[in-house]
Amino acid sequence: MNTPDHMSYLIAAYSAIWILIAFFLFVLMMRNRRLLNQVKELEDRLQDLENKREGGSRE
Amino acid sequence: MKVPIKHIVLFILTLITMETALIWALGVAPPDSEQGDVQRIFYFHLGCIWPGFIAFFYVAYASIRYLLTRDPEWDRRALSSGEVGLVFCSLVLITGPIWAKPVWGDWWAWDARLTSTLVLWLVFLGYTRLRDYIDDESKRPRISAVLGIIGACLVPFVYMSTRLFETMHPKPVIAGDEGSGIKHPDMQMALYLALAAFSLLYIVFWQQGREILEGESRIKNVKAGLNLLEDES
Repeated sequence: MNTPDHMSYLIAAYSAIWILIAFFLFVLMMRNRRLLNQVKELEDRLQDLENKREGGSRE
Repeated sequence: MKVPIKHIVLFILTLITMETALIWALGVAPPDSEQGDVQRIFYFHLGCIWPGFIAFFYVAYASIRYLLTRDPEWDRRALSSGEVGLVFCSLVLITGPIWAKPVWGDWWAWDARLTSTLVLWLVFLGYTRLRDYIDDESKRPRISAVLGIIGACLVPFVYMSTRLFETMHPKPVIAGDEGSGIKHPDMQMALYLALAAFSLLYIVFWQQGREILEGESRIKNVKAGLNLLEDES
């Protein structure tokens, strides 16, 4: 049973496991990064709003 | 952004357990007398499916809690668990045929165990993707919860399928009949380590997924509030 051909199945199975786990980890990281970008966008919008209000109160 | 210490400890523990499980499965456990080294696929194959089953049961539990309380936190917990369960079920469906080819001589057999696992995978693929196609936000978690509960009901059938029907798939190793299972202590240790590693990985992934879903929900609420303020000014 321990032919090199069968070892290649073992290597393929364990490689597939790590590739899929790494892919899911990558997806989670991307979603996390998208969240951080959205937070940045909200901070910018909030800053704009504050600037507008400050400008309005000076006038 | 500060990562809580318990998350770091859990992550390190998962890495160590996974590494030990890998060493035991590929190095310490002896090769199977009939199947040879290809049998080593089994440790991670089975190591994936049990936490996968737990993930699907948790979907059912969290979905029931959601239907009772209508608290969106339970919907997020269920969705995160469903996503991780789907990944683990995918691993089982990939490693199973890779093991089957040299042992059975074929990649796939349409027997009860393999077909029911594929159906389970399809149900949870639907569960995780369904909410993208429901526009009504009030209906979205409710319909998903019902599908999640139905999907989890399939899990006992998948487990029992090798007992209920004549299948090519080996008989259960965990809680199996007398005579089934593995006897060598190093083989048993390899299996237990793989189960522990994937259980820890499930917790790590589930926690991360739940936090991301919570963050998305909170950002959505803040955006809605900000839109109102911008309209007023």
